[in-house]
Amino acid sequence: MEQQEKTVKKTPRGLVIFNIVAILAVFAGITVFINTAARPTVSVEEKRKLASCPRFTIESYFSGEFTEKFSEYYNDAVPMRSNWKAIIAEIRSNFGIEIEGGAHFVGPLPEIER
Amino acid sequence: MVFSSLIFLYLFLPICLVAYMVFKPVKAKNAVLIILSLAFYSWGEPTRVAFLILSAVVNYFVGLGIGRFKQEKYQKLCLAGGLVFNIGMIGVFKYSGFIMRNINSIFSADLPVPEIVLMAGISFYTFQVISYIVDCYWGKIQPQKNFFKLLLYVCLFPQLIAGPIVRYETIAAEIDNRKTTLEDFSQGLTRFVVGLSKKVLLADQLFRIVEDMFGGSIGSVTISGSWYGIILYSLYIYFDFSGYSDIAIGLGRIFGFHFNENFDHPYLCKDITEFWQRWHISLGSFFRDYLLPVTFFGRRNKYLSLFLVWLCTGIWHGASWNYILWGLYYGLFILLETRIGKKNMNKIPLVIRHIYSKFVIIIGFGIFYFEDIGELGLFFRNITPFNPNGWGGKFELSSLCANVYLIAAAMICTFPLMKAFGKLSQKNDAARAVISVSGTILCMGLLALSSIMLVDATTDAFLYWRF
Repeated sequence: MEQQEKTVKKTPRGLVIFNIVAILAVFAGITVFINTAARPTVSVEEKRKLASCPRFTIESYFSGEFTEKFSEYYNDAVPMRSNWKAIIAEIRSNFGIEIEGGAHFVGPLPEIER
Repeated sequence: MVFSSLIFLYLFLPICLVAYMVFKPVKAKNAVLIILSLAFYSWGEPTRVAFLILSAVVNYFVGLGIGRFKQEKYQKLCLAGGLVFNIGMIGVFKYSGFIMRNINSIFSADLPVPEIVLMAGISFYTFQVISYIVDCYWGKIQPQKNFFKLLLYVCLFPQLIAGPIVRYETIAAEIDNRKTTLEDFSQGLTRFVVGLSKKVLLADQLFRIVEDMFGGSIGSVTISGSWYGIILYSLYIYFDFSGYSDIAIGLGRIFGFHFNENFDHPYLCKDITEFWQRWHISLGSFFRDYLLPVTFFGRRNKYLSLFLVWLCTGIWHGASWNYILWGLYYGLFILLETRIGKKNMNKIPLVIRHIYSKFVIIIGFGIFYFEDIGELGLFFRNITPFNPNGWGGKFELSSLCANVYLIAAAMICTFPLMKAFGKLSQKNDAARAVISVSGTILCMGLLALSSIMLVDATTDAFLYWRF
């Protein structure tokens, strides 16, 4: 009896199924969105052309060029890219608090002669 | 292909899950996993698959040889051949450039330095096959007679690139016969999302701050900046590597494999010996089980064996002097703790032990970070009052304030929160339901948030990929 009490109680089946369905729903939703929505070709904010889908050839595959460029295209030309970028900036601005007169640097520090 | 990339998450993984679920027999599931694992590994560098398959072929025949020969001398010969091949492969691909550069430097020679691109995951899968052939030799496992089953063990994509270093005996039975239960699938998914969040929401964001501190000239960093940067780097490396292990363990679980844990909240350790029982457990146990018992220096000289283990731990991490120094640095503290003895260590107040261990670990990650020995020297100067740049203030304070919630969240997440909630959920049915549903909703949010953050994090590979 004591041993029975000590054993870890299993999560009820309904909750397990709920967990699977809920996480997979988010996963499936993003998968469908990212693979079917229109992909932008330029970024107005960054003033540049986004990576384009490379043409497949046997040579480009075996040289690794195709896979590299396809990854670049897939990760760069994300549907609604500028909206996500704005949300990311908003999220990052909420990582902490800004102090009055505090320095704010973005990227590596420049080298300064002393 | 990087786990924390949109192409892996939303193109490769859905294909993988659908293909895996479509087939029912284990044989077909294994075939799907082999094909997709090879596709995963070949992505970006197709030729490296040849070396992976070569490694599987050679170690398959070594295993068969050990199993077939009855006389020990022939078994030993097979094992020696396998070890020479495996260590030789790591030596050529990982250390040949480093060795030649040092020979040139010591003897003022001008020998050609091979520019070999390091194959991702070579240290991990080579250690796996070494454990396989040694276990065959020791009679702990039966050699696998089916080549494709051994190939699956070697190339299984969740743990192929950055571990954990899975022993063959851990998954041997599951290669032959496995079933993913609903519980497995659910826990695997949760673990996967937790790992992804650790990497994308914590590690990648912390590394941006580390780069702010150390990305420019290390010579101009202040005392507070150096300490701030290296503390955040210590947090970053934990979330980066343990996040990868979580993803690997989670994916393994989804496919019905149960890998051993690789991290156990290492920053809760009270001394350095305990730290290594909680950090990269699969590497520590590999050296403990396969290197320590080998009596290079005779059974009596355990300190020399300890030195060898820590030298190898350092070298394993990379072909650079700072990693060797890093390994020996830990060896020194472990030796010190061994000499003091567990009883005496326990007499030291807990607070002091925590401060001591965190101090050693943080300085250790300083050695780990700076591959350039000159920069490492500057770092050591910078963390002391001898730093000519002074104590600093405004920039570090401003960065700390701008990221205070992120840093606080990272620190909180080093504690065993999931275990605590798990315990809490055991109280009664209502608590279990509330915690379970809250956990699910949290995971949904974390997955969505991580996916959004990935739009801006396309090049942040896992740190341990290069090992």
